[in-house]
Amino acid sequence: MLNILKKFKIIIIFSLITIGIIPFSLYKPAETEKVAVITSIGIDKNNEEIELSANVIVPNSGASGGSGGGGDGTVKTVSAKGNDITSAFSNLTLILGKMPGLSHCDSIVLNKNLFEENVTKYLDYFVRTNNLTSNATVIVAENKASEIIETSAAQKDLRAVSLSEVLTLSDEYSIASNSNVDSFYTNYFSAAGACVLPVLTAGESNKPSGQTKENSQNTSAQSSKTENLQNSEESNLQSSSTPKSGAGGGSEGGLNSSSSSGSNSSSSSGSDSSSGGSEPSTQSSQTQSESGSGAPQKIVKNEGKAVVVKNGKIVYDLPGVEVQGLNLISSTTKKGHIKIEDVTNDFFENATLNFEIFNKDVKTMGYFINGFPIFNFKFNLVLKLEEVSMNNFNIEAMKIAHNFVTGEIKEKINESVQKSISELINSSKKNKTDTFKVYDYFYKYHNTEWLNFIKSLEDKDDYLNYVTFTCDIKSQGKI
Amino acid sequence: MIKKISAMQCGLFLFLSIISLKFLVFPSIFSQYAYRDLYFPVLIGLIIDLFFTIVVVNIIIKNPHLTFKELLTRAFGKAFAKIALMFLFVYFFVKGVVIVKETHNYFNETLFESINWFLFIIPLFFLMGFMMLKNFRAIGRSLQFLGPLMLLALLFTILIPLSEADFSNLLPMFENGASGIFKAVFFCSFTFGDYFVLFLFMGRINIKPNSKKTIMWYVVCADVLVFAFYVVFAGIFGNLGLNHSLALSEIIMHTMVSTSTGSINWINIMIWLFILFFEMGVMFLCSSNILTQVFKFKSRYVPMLITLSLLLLAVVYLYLSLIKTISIVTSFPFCIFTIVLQVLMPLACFVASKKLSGKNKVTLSQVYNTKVVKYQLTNISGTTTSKIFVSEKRFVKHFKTKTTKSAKTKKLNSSAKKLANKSEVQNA
Repeated sequence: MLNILKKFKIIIIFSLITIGIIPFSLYKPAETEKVAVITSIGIDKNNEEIELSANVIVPNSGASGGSGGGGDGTVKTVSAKGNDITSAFSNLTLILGKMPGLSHCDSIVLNKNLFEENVTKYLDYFVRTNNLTSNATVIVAENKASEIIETSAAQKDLRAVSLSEVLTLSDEYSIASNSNVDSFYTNYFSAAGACVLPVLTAGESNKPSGQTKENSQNTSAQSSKTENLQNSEESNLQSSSTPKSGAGGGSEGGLNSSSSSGSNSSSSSGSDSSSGGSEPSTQSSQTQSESGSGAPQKIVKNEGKAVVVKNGKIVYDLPGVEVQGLNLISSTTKKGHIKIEDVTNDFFENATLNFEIFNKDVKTMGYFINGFPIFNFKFNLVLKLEEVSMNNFNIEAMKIAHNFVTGEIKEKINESVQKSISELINSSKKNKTDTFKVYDYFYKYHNTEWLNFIKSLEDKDDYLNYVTFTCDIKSQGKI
Repeated sequence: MIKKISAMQCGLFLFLSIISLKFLVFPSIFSQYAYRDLYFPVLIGLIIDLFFTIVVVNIIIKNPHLTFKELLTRAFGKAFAKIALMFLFVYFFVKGVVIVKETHNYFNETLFESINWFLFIIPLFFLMGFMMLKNFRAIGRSLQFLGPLMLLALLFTILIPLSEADFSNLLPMFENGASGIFKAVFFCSFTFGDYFVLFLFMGRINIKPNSKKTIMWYVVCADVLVFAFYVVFAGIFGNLGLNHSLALSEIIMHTMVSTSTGSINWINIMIWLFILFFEMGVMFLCSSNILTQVFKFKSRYVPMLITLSLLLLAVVYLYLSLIKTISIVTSFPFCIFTIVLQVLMPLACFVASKKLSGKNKVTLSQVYNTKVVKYQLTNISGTTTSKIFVSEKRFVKHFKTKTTKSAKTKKLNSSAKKLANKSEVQNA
């Protein structure tokens, strides 16, 4: 007997362990019964109380996902209040009856009024908890964060899940200084202290199907209420799918759902929603317009807005032309649009030309001359003519295999680029917000000289006014 | 026959030892002192370790048949050797406990929302107990199998986040002065001293002409990979590295690439689990091995049970709190103890080796049974082959004391005589 036990000791011990653990495994409830899977969080402040809204995935084996709209699918919005984030989460636990699980939380939407005081007060919980395992995107809500959370839950094909996914996909098309928690804190603790965050709103959708062109006009009309009318039109042309920066609003013919932002990187404004028909976002917006017969539905809108945040507070709202400038400067943004007007040459007559930035290479370099800092942008743009708008077309203008980026057109393109950047620079100087990390650059690469330069200034925050910005642009057409 | 390990297996053990403790919690600890310059203290520590590794490897090659205990016993006496071994036991045991707690955190934060303490610790105890019953060669063979996977996991961990790393975050260097760097080296000294495993392999490595090269190759590879990891960590997180406690999982999860690599990341996590289990196993195997050497237990179960009991006590006392464990191993007195140990141990071996060189060199026959039987075999064709039979049992002779004929010695002598007689008969 003992010999048998000795011979098979490993098998016996293994069997005992397995038998011992089996009851724990078989009778263990599913993790989803103990943990609520939260996909996005919204934070608002009412008086002194914090309202936490969360999109929770409700596992539903029977019903098809997203049917019926209005949050009846597999995503539900739950709210809880508290004096601070921790107590709000505790109350959320009581409401849900489960522990909030942030492992799949990929976006944190903050009400704009939270930035009146230092917003890090509200983000601190997410930085310290080990519950949040991913680098969630930080989004600013124009009005109420809960509205955006509810609206994104109400949208079909699990919009709540892909809210940040779309922002992530749009990284190439946005200003793409990553607006996630990590980068926010990196910028917060950097010497420059400034970062740009995208702004989303929730508003009524356009009218039902068949009226998408009117939708675009309505949305344009809506956006005209803001100060950024011209800028939003421009940004529509440039980079339509930039939910992070907010640039490219009005994509998809004005149906500014967050889902549309990922699908219209190359579409110009005024295009119908059906133009991107194969994209899931367009499908969702189409389905919405079909199903929402008569009753306007709320959608998450990207109106091409962004805000500049310094030391946790909003300094100013970034208008569309400056967003375009940031897109141009950003090394991660690969796409965009440049529009030039009143072009007259052999091919065009008083034409408005829209160029797509097919490829972009930006190098920034800083150096000192006679103790003064010079910050240089070097652009290498490959542009493709995308749209021509003029009264009388001639056959020559229809050429495809032709480099139109020459002569007057090239000069105008350079002017347009310089204008966008100079608007941004002037704004930054005026507001003392270093959105292009001039301080960080010089601090890293010319540490001693830069520190000496800063010491020599009366107002150390006003260093941008003493930096000379230069721009070298090399543009060529893509055949 | 004493089962010796090959140079490759020894190199793999060293590789495992070098990567242990350096990829989970300690990057954030380094960052607490050195901020974005955290790769400098790591570099300093690795260079010092490399120096001592070379010293110890040279001692091993010079005295291939002497164990650590024998070396110190012959040079300084039994008491010194036992005290040194007990210090080594403490070192390996504490390292094992830290790895257990790091693994628990890894399970809790990366794999599960929450994990039942018992479900984690009980199977782990069985696994550690099983590994403690094995010898170094068995574990070494397993590491040979796991080696390519380990390398793959390391490369994945370093290369995948590379696209997100902004190496300008490493600038400016020495922003907070050099004091932070040296503080990091001091307070994180427990992560170094990886050459200590070599003390357990002394006299147990199958030394061949290229053994030194093989072992050093593994050491250098591991050092380069560890350094590269810390550079990438600093590139991604910069000064905020102190906020990221589980570097191994956070460095990948905070990169955009993870959304697309998804499933591949899980393979990486699984391989890292194997690495962590082996790290734990090796540390506790070293601990139980030391207990066997000190107390001369006949059965391997006894030191295994003692080690597991101590582990249980430690785990219950610390209640699997990683913060508490880290605060102990990074406390000032413990760091002093660690550094003194890391310097004195190789120094003691070096002095002992010098003492036993030249006229006092310990020969193979002094270590093994002095009775050597040489017998000849003649086959049908008339060719003769000769073989030397060496007694399988080895016993230590004190350098200055006279040999005493114990019963074992008598038995060995008699068996050797019988064999000698047999060979004479055969020759006849």
